[in-house]
Amino acid sequence: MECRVRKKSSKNKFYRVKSAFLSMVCFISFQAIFFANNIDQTLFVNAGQAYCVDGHQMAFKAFNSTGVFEQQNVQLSVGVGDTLSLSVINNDTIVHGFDVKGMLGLRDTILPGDTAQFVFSSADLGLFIYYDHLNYPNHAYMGLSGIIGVGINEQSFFWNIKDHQSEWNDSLAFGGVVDWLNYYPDYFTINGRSNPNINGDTTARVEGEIGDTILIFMANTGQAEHSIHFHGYHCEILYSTMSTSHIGRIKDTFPLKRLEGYVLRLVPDQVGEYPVHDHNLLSITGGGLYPFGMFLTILIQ
Amino acid sequence: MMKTLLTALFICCSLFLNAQTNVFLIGRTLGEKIIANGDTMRVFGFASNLSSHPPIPAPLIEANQGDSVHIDFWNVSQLHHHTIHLHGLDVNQANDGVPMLSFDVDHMEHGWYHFKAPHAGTYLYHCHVGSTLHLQAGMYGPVVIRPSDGSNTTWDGGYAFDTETMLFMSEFDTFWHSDSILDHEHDNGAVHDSLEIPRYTPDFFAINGLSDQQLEDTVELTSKTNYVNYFRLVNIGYCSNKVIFPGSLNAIIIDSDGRPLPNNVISDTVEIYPGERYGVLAESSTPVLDSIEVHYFDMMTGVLKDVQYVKVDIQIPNQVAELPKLNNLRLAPNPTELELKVTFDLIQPATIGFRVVSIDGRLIKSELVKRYLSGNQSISINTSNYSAGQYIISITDGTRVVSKQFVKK
Amino acid sequence: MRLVKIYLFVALAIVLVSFNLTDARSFKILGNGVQNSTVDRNGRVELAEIKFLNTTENDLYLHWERLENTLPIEWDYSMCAFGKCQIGIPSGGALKLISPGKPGFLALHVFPKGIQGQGTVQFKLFDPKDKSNFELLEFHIIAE
Repeated sequence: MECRVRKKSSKNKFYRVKSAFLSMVCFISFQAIFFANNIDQTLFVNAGQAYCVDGHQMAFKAFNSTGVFEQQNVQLSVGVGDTLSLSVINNDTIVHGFDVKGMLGLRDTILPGDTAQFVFSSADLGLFIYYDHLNYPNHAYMGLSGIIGVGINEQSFFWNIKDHQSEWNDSLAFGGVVDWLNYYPDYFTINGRSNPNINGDTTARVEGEIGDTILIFMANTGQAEHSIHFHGYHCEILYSTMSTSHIGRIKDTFPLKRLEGYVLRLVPDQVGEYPVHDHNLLSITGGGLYPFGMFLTILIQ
Repeated sequence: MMKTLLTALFICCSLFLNAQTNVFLIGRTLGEKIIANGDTMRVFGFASNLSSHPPIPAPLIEANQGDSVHIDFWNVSQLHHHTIHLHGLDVNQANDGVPMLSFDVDHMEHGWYHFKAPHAGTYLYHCHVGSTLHLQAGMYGPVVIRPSDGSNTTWDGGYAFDTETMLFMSEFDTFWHSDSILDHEHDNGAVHDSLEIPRYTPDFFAINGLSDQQLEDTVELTSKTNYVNYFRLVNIGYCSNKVIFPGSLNAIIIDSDGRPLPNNVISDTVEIYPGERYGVLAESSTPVLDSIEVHYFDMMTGVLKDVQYVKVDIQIPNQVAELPKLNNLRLAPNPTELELKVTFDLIQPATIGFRVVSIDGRLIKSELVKRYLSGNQSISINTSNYSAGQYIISITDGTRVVSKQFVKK
Repeated sequence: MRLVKIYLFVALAIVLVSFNLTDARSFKILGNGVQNSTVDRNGRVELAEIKFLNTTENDLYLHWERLENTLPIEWDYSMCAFGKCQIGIPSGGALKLISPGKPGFLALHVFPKGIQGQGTVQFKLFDPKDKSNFELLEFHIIAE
């Protein structure tokens, strides 16, 4: 797998390119590059209030497509070989960072009001987590983390998994200090939503027919670990951020460590509606109430 | 007439080609379990009879690949409704056991579940009503699908093994087993119960329902050198586990979630998360007297909460095969009240010892009795002060151990 | 006249005592306090039930005590008291609160497991505030 992230700073006119492998990449990826797209995307770092499933509000931050706060981070999707040009604008009042996990050494900090630019490309199907690396895990925990999916098809779905101890969000927003060894989250979300609202997110709620090839880009950008269990079907691991040895495994339950993810392939062989949920069943709760946490269903017609 | 004959022929062929496995389970909410500190804890569970407390884990459901499995679940527990979710078996929606998407089973009702046993492997079943509470309360058990010929093989064309051991990891938060938590409200008209879930602070960490001293008194694997030992690892708790095998066992991870791994992994350490299952082969060419370590990690903080140990005893097989001396073990009456009479036949003189263990692994009595002459012999055991429940008595003649279950009323 | 006064006094006393005796009953059996069940030895008695009613205007807590159990030991059985379904048949227990005018029950579940035979389970159901206020309930099970 060959990926390139090239950072272009508004204050620096020089570009760094992996020239040692450029010609090989170009040769190997000739067809992909020939037919590759160039995609421009602007991300705004916004601060606001997120609404929990029970109406409770907590301080939150997210990478959005406009300067208006939304509690769901942008899902970035590119085809294999496409080039994604990112402009990241810090719309907040404090310094933030931007990084793509697994990319070597090309991260940057962004002052309030400033813009940083990055170029991303991958020659293989995969999943990458973009996040605010500054003051880790605090900024990422506050919501600043999302997914780049590479190699999406027309039936691709995104699950950006998070967890929050809501009173800590408010404390961290005001510069407070928390003890992560005593972390006990009370809200669990996929794409910023909890059960039953996750099923209303068409980018998360898997729908299809028997025989379809469905791709699920799933990442844990929260602070807790999770274990995602599928009813009704097994899925094949096409990509794992944790280990290439996972590729090809066919499972019904997928452990997710912090800042890790999978691309799964689901080919449904029966109709019906089937739950998918964290099998650490504490995460099916929201605000201390079952089942208002990390729980959604797959619908196959 | 022809149609009738053909139908009958089809049914006969189907029965011949695909065996049927029938399972009967009773849902219970007033079970009792003795935990490692000697206290009795209230549990929910699945029982196979009316007069016994539901064991934790619940009774094993097993079938061969391709069998038709039919489960009759009878719920005998006022105030609570339950289901059976067949975890990992990819059953259809109607049999998936999720109350809002199929059905639930109320007190004194029967629920029937049907499926065709899929890929050979290790699976689970558990209640999916108020699952966060009901699962922690004890409503979970194993499902083992064997290869189509029922042999001691991991799957059709898989690895043959000599011994098979299941390690079922879970935790108990004893506060979650109090009446105020377990006797939660249930709204018959709701799509699914909305329940308040208390903070989870487990105080016991279990393997096959046993922890601490209970595990000390149990040897989970007794085997021989050069035997292939197959471990079925299951995590049904809310902690993640690291299972660390002694290096001398040469552990190889071969399957997960009922499917072979595309590539075996040679590793002493298996990370297993809630809901996952793993199959591990282990073999030693030298004697081993050691323990498998099972670490429990808080998934919210990553902090190590506890370590439990599973004893492993691998010995060199006897150079000269010894004939077993003890045969035809019988227990009466069973169920018993005041006294249990144990009778057996000895084909040659032997010194007899016995031990009685409760179904949850607590050692009740252990005694080396005396030397008996050959012939029909008996031992009387005073059970008047035993608590009601299931027990296992093991009798040894020095070369062979024979075990039987009995019930104290 | 004096005799008439004595007779009236005695009559009044009898009436008053009778009323007291009547008011002491806080529950009554609905139907028969003896339940007979006959089942095939390979069958099951899933529910043999005796109901009773709270005849007072107050919440009622009743206790029960097992007086006799002659069911064959090879059989598999348990009981439910209103509010709790027990493992096996314990020696005694308490029922859930019975609201005024509402029923409670004791029930038996029996699986003969292919063993022919018969047996009786007898319970004493009583008000713990007044143990003289009790009823005897019997279950007779025959497996053929």
